[in-house]
Amino acid sequence: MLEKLLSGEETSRLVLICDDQFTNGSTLLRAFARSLIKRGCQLHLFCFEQHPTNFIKHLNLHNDSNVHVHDFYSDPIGWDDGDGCLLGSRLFDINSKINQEQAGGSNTAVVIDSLSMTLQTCESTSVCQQLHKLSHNQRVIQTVMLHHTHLHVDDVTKRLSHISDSVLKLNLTSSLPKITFSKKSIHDGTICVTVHRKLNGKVFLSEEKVEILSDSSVEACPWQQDPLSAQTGGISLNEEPDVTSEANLTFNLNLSVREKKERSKLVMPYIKASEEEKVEIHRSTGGGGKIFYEPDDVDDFDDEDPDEDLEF
Amino acid sequence: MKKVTFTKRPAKGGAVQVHGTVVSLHNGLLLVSTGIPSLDSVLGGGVPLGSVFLLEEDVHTRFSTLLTKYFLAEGVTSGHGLYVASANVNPNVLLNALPKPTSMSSTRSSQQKNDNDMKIAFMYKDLPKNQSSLSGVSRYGHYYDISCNMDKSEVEKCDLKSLRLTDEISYGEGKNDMFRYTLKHLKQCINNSRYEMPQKNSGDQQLNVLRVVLPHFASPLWCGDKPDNIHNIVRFLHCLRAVARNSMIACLVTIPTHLYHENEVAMIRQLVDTSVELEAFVGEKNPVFKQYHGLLKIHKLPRLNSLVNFVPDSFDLAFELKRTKFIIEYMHLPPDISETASRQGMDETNDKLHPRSACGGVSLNKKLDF
Repeated sequence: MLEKLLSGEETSRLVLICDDQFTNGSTLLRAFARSLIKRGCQLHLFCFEQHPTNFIKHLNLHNDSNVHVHDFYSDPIGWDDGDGCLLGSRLFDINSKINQEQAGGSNTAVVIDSLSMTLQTCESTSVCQQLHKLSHNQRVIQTVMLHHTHLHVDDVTKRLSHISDSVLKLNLTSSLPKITFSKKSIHDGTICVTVHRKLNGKVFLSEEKVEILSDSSVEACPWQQDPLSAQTGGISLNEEPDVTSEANLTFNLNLSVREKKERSKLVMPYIKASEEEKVEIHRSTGGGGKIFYEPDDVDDFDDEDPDEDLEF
Repeated sequence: MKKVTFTKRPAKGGAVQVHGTVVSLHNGLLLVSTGIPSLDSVLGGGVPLGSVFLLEEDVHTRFSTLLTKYFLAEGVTSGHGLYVASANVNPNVLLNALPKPTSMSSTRSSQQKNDNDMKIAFMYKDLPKNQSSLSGVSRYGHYYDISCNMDKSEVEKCDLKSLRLTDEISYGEGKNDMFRYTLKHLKQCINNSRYEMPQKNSGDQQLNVLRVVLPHFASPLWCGDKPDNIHNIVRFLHCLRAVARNSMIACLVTIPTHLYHENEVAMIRQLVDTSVELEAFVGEKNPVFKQYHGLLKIHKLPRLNSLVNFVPDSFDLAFELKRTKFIIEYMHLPPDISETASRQGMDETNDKLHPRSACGGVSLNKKLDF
């Protein structure tokens, strides 16, 4: 599912990447940016957390004429009389800008490095409303955003997930928390849990192990959580001794090997009778039976959709 | 057999006659169908006229959108008026994608044709036919096929009113303006129209039902973030209920209650008449739920006009979506667990479901062997 989202096979207007203090989502964000540029989009990049040149450097582009950078990193509050003043609606002026631009055509995409600063200065519901409007803008084919779940209350994450079409949550493989707080690269046992909602309403859930290579391309393979380690966090339980009630009996309820063999040799009364019948039947009918079935008009075939691929 | 037809009472009795409605057997109120016959039976016949029906959305809004479509489609088939108000989402998108009713008329004609052609059930050929379908086009409760869309001409025959709340309205004087505007617009539509409750009951009035639908109400798109936001929602629902009681309308409101705190949800439930929650399964591995698509939880049933409300046989309900039907069933216990004890292959799934515990649980390695 992740690769389908990246390549554009699955359309998703609003993609939300959630990471926390143990995982790093910016590499995945870069991968999305790269694939959007490859598909020929005009990319609008909003950088809040790293310098734009740093972001673009890792994209390994031949020419970056398609990337419009909105730099909110260098001077967010406008102390140097800069352009990037972090008033609430600055981020969302983009909506009107895109509508005005004629050269852009219908292939615009928006990548937001992180929503955290915007969420801290504006109300989360107004951010949701603006993002919803942006995603429904006819010219924007996809909006990808990074969200740090540990910096905000759960309610905010829930609201953002509610308006998004796809939510990608990054987790670590083992459920035991890591003690180090360094920004680990994504090479090391990261799982992406994708919940994707298609346009017709169907929801798909997939868990994949993700590896992002140095040129921002992604390898994902489906991952099955080991049940024992999931429950117990990797510590194996001691096997409980089976309590049987025959510990206190004075007689033996089990059968010995010889007794078991004798039991299997025993012929049941019904077996004999059915064998006789079988012989008779074989003699009487020559070729067995055939069933002719013609469905009536009122016969109802199964209405369910076994492959879950029909568009309802 | 329970008669679901509308029986014509003498005009002296003071019965109001509206097509597409049925008189409730419990409290004598007029009921309208939700569009899903099994949901109607769980609710005691349908949604009472003049009440507010709250549908608490599932997390990804797949099934709540579907139920809204069924409700609207039922309105079209019964010839009711439709009113849709949504924030920032075009109501016409919803109205253009209504499911098509599975045509009852064509099956009836084919049944008559094949009267003498029963090849398999020939012994029943001479028995009188059980007329479960009634004469008349718009009877109560229809089945819909979600893979086809309803004809636009059918939809346009109905009295359609829609309201799309955009920025210009909401940024008036604060966020509660959206709610006020909606209420005002709804009242304007109802005043001096067929949907107003008649003052005097004269037999020759042309009354009709207006189905009011507010999809994704109280989602982040509707409201602001301030702590008094819940009060605005609650006030709106209170006024909506007042408007509903005084007119011939049936309201369906869908709210994503998973985004709200428990106390706030309790306040919301207090102010509606019926509250039903949908919980959809996504990647559910529990074998008990294998054939279902989700659970249906009833939080409140209407108690209008009577001391005791209707109580369904069981509150453990699960739903399943088929192409032509939306089925709600009572969940029953799966077959006796001792079956699985003899099968060695079931070990893994049972471990997932029932982690080993000292008390109870399923002991899979029975040492007793007779």
